[in-house]
Amino acid sequence: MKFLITMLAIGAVALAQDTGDRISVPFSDPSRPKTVRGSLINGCFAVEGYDGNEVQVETRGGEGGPQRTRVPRGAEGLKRLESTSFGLTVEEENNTVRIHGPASRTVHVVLRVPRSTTLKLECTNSGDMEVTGVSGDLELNNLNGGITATNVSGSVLAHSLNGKVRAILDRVTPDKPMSFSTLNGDIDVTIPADTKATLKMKSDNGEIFTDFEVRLSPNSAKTTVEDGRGSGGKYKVKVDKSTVGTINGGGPEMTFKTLNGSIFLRQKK
Amino acid sequence: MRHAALLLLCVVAAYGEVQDRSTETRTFAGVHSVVLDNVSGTVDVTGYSGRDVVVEIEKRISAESQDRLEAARKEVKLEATESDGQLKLLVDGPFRCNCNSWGERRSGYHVTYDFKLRIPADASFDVRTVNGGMTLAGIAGAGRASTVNGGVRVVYAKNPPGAVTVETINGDVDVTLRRGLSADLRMKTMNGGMYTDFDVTPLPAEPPVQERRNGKFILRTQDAARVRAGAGGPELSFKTLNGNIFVRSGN
Repeated sequence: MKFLITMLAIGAVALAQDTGDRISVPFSDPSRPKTVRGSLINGCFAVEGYDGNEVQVETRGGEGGPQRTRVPRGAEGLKRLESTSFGLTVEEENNTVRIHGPASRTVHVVLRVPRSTTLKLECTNSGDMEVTGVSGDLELNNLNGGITATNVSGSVLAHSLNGKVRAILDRVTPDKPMSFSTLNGDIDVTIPADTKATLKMKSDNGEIFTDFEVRLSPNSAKTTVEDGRGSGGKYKVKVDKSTVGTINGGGPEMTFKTLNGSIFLRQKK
Repeated sequence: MRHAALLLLCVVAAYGEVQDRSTETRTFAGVHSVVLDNVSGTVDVTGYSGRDVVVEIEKRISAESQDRLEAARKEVKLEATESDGQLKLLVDGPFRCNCNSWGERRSGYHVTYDFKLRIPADASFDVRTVNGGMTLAGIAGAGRASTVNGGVRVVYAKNPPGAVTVETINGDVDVTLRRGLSADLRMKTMNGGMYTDFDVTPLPAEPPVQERRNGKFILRTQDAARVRAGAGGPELSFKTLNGNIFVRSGN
């Protein structure tokens, strides 16, 4: 196996603006299914599908995150220098490319991946996640930012805590369950009009909107009983207030869950 | 392991009952390269116009008993060797040995060596300690200065002709060079900032380090800041983990 590593060194200004790294990483076997995994503590990913067989990684300095605005004693009259590079690690093994970012700096990572790629990405702080034009199993997690997936196909699992979750799917893999959730934010999902699915939707402090013909299940309220009386505990009945229904005759489960936000499920026109 | 031992020594030192302090001054002639390997204690280097290296040593022992104090006197010593114009000073003791188990490491004493060196300004140097700060002033040579716990302060009387490395883990790196510096600076800190008042231009990022391990193909981009002062020249490398880096232009 021969790898061609292209390294475009961008030696622009280090003083004010971070210009970042550019790396290309090939898959060991482009004909087999490809996976890209990545996790960042400060900053997030923007992913774009393209006609190629490599993963192209580009970094950009980020706003927000742990900024050092305080000038330390002794630095009066001096300019602050920033490294143009971020100390990113990219690994390839068995057709899986893994990307690890630095914890001490905010970095936005721009990825170009082959159109058909499985993604498993997670971010924690300072940034929104964006995925465009990728088809595959997409597992997207962003704790304190939003998630936007546009023109994707396959299946999507998108989870946030303090952000909005948006997804527009061109095609949906049949028989694959999907799930969208957040705690504080809306969920806005567009899927093809002929998608067969069983919907399970729940918004504690918001509403649910859709232009699909949803056939609601008559006994959608599921009750769970916890009986702790034998051990001196209490007897508890919980009624799950999820709305359950089917579209186009039913299919794999699609879950939508938010606490403070509304749910929008749209037909792709 | 050595650090763990030092930590233990420090704990012992805190309860030390017997103290001892001795000073000594030694002079070495015809030295153009100085190597100092210290473990506990500070290192102060001053460049001057003379040709001799003058070493002022202050050895302090705190021990839990008179018996241990005697052991420290015997076991921890400064070894000085000189050959071909290179002076080597090594603080040697049982702590240099990585073969002991934890139990045997309870030596019952703690020894600190503080060094004050006067060296020919243009002599090259390689000075290190582990627990203690460092200062180098009035120097003009190439070399290396490193510590682990403590800051390093360097003031050049004349810009160095060759590569310089200044490193610590916990502390600031504060380097003053002269105006009109032509050098390539390489700086890296994890928890801190990098500051300079030199006019610098960024150098291209270093190519990522490539590695193959167990079927894995790994690329690591280098996150050191690299900038050029003047027309470029010797590499001056400044590194810390928890601290700031200051590169100042002196008049």
